[in-house]
Amino acid sequence: MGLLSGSAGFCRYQVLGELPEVFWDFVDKKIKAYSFQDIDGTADEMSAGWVGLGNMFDREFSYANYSRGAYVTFSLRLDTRTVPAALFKRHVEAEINEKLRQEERKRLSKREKEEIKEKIKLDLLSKTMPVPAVFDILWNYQEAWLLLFCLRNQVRKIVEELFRQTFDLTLQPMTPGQLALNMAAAQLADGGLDGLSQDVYSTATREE
Amino acid sequence: MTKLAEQEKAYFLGREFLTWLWYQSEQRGGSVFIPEMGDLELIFERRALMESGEGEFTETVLCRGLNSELKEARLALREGKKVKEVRIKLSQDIKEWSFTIKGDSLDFQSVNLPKGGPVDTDDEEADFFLRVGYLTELFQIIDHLYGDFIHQRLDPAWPEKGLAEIRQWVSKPE
Repeated sequence: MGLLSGSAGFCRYQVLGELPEVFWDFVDKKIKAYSFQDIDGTADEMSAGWVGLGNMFDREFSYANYSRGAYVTFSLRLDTRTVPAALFKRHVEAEINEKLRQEERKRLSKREKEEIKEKIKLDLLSKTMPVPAVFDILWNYQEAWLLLFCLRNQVRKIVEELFRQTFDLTLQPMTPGQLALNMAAAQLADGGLDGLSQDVYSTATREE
Repeated sequence: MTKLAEQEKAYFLGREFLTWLWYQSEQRGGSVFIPEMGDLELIFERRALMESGEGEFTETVLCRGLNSELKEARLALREGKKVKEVRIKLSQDIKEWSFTIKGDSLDFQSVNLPKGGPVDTDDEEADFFLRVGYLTELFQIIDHLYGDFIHQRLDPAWPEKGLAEIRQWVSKPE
């Protein structure tokens, strides 16, 4: 599912903020500064950054491959590393039992248990390979709109925050309410959408 | 209320829009009219997700069938449920899109774009611009229709005109 092929799913944003005069130099500098960083040799749980459109290994953006006419195209690469809960629990229990046996004690303090959990978590994370995912982005900078080819809330929040950090621009979701505010500014001049209530269509509901 | 809270609270406009669109399509025998574009075929097909209530009292029903066959969805509408998401087939001349649109967000899902493209299939750049053209055309059509709905919905005459017509349509037995 993406911009380049297959069946697509996307959400829409309005891009708010002023663009610099030398736009493409700005994009080049910023997109590289916030390009994806590998976490393969670490125990980090997540890494998010920009890569070339549809190519999770492209962090160079050679020949300004993000530039296509009025569009800026690139992808978010999101690597996440998770430890299965059952595996984590088993290792924690084994470690606790081993400590109790070695020290001939009956129980551990809450703090000791927390320390063991933290140690096991880091140990297992460092042995787990991160799982990569790529989400395409199409930004029309002249008309100030952007499509994100993903509907997952977690990914949307990451893109909104990373885009703000990278370009110092805000992504405003094009919700039904926002579209209404944009399209009917004159009709909504006084009270905005405030005070607008849901229509009821069915007699059954109206009579309740 | 802040503008952000205001626009988020008005999510119901998306559900109302899909109901209005359904009504418009049925009234015109499966088509809608956009002044700049003329008549476009627009059919609710195969799938409609209907919902009533909020939070833990939410009740959802999934209805399947072709356009006029969405009887269960019409019944759900009559029982007070709202259109949460629908599958739509949209055609303009030889171009045909099919997609699912969500009422609460107007997000697009499982979008199939019109078939056909450059003769030279190795021309990635041409493919890209063709695909982007079809995508933008799709949401511009939906924006035209949504704008039409919003202007009617905010008109002081809405309760006596548009809303009354939809209520009559909803209450009419199949």
